Amino acid sequence: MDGIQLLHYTKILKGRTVLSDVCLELEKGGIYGFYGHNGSGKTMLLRAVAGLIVPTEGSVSVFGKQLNEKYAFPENMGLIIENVGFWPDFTGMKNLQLLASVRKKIGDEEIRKTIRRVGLDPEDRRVYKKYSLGMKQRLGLAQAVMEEPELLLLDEPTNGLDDSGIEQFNTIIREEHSRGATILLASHDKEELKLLCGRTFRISDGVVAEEELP
Amino acid sequence: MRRWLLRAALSNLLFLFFLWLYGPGELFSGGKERLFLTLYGNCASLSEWYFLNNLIFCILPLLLYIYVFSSYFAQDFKTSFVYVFTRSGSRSRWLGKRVASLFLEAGGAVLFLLAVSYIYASFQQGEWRFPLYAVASVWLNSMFTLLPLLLLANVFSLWWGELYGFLLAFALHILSFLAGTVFVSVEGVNTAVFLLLPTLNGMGLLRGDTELTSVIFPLAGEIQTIPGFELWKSLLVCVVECGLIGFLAARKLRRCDLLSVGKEGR
Repeated sequence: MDGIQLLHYTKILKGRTVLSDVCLELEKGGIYGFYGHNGSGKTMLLRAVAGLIVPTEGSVSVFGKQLNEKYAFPENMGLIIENVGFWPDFTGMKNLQLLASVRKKIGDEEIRKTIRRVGLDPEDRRVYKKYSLGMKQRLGLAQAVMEEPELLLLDEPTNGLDDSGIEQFNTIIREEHSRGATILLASHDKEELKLLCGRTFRISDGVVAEEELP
Repeated sequence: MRRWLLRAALSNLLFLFFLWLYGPGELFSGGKERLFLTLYGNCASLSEWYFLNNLIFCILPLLLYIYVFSSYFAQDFKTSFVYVFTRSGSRSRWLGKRVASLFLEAGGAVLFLLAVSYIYASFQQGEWRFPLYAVASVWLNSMFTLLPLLLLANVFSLWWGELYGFLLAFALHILSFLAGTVFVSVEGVNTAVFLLLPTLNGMGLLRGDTELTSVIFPLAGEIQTIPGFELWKSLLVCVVECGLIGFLAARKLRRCDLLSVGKEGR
């Protein structure tokens, strides 16, 4: 299977089952939505696919490769997860330059283009810690898409965005989908998922079930 | 940036301390060489009864470096563990890079301090009674103590928080020194004890049998040496200790949930 596969994936944290026997097969190139209330396991599911957590039982494979100690993270992945990941005393441009220097796939011009694409200004001299929540979210999206990843994992990506920001976000997701990226979106907003996703799943207390949105 | 400033401030603080001690007159018999060795060289005279004096002057400089550098990994981890890790593709690679840069920065900071102090003291009255390459020995001995303690503190801080990481290194540093004051007076204590404890492993005055330290040794007066406590053995033990800590840390890092690492006080 060359998409994303979770096989009887269970995760227990501090005695609590946060993901319970999850079996999922997601084809490459689709947009998939996951919705549920706070604490239902949406973020944990994305962490599982990203390789940030280790299963208690079961396995996860991404594009034909099972994640394990040697192959810890999917290659060519972009993600928005957690509220961390940027250096607070650097500008948005500098932050993305530092992140881009890890893989060395893109240069400053591509970074500037991506920053403009998400509605920010690459010449903005404000440092990250001075950003509003919306700006932080936009920068998060910029770092996720700037290297044209094959896999996008986005956890509550429109938090803090205004209407124009949400519209911009939706446009970017459609563009990434057209490019062929596989996109997993986690949100508590069903309307957002209905608009973008081909398949949607409901998560409740760590249990995942496919559910078509009305 | 702030961390760099802290380190620069610390180096200057220690230099000023040396200046304050040396400037008004000779506080220690043996002059500036003895002071230099005691302050920077982890060269305690364990058997002297006023060990509290040694505790302060000998322990404090390295302890301050431990304080500044003990959160090196944790601070970077908080930022890097999502976006940098997932880009680099390997948890161990991040750890390897951090270990290398920690050693370079800590070693460089100590070297800078030694160099500035040496240059300053060189312009004072009287000639240095040991050659410049002896300063290299002082630096090396400091590294035998500092590097394993720093690595331990930083690895510990990833899982149990920065405070506990520092406290572990602090406790080990002090307790090793105190243990040394006991061991040095006891007949027949195995040399391995001195090699294995990082604080004692870097005590240059306990070596009496290498060409380099024999230059320093006569300046220190009547000091008890440990048979078989040689520089190359200390280097080997330091490398093995750091390698073992690094290996175990990489192993744990590869198998753990990244969301559980880097949290304070767990």
